[in-house]
Amino acid sequence: MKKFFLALVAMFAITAVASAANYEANDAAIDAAIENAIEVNAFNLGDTTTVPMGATYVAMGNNDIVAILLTWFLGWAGIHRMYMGSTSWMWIPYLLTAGGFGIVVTLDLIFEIIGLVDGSGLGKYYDNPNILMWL
Amino acid sequence: MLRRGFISLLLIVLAFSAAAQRRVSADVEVKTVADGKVTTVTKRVFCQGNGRLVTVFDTPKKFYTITNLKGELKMYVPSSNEVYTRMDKENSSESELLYLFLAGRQDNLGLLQLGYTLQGSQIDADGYLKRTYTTKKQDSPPTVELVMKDYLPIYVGYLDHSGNTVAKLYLSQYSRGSRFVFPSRVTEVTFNKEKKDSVVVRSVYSSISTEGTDPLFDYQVPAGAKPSGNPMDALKKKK
Repeated sequence: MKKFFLALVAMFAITAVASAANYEANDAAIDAAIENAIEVNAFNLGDTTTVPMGATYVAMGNNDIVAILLTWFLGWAGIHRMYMGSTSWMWIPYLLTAGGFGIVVTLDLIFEIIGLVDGSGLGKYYDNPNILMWL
Repeated sequence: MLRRGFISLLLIVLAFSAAAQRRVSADVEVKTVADGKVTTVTKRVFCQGNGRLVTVFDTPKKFYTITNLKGELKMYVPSSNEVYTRMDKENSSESELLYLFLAGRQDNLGLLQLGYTLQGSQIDADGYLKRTYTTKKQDSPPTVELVMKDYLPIYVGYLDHSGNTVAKLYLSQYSRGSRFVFPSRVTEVTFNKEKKDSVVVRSVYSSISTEGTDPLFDYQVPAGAKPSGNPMDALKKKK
């Protein structure tokens, strides 16, 4: 469980920093993710869809909860938008206006919770380039 | 006039011939991280300028693949002496990064061959050259952004119809040999919207060599190999 949590945190760091530094991967975060992940045989993955010659897709966990928690606690600074892979400058208007005077970040949170509850998920908000991601 | 034309033709033929004879090999370690799990694949890649690509997988299990530009694939598992053959453009060695650099296509990473057209280029705020390619092919990301630094690609972003990034490719730590420049670290981040998560694949290239003397460049599947219908069956056998 601890390893899974550490891997999750490292994966979060990868996404967040890779978005911030546009053209450079965060090798330190990727190193941490690799170190904390559980080594499995490439042929024994449950949902392998390709011959393991390189990239191998496997079933993934759900990070929507992390996105919602970040919106709740750090939404005023736009951290949730960085986590969700928006453009690198997206935190600036959030920070300058304290999350659109609290209104935008509140709406972000509401729409994220709606997505989680109705089962549609937060997929449409990931890598969303719009300041108002729900429009 | 005739003499000049003949010399030009000869030079063109020699240039193509020299390019086709170029060879490069490398050791590759591929780590795939997803959902708190990591897989490791180690392989040796032997690439020729004519597109013939031999890959020797060492872990998790020993097997060989041979591909070419047409997409012909032969996969041989020595432990069971089985060979699997398939013809699919997706298997083409044109999609192998090592081949793209060997063929001098690092300026567009083979996007033009994949049906993309250059829409424009600009210098961004940080001084990087960013090129935008688009395609109308249904099975490909409609827009690709390619970022260059010092005339070498360092980042590729794949965008969907809404302009959202669906995958990122980072090329870094270029090794600058006398005849061959290649990124020794390649990191792919693929976002899966349906599963609402991402897969990170890091490939580390080492022992990059242009000597081309290793006999594995010309590896052939043994003549007595038994045809196999499903390569995964052969690979999963414990023997």
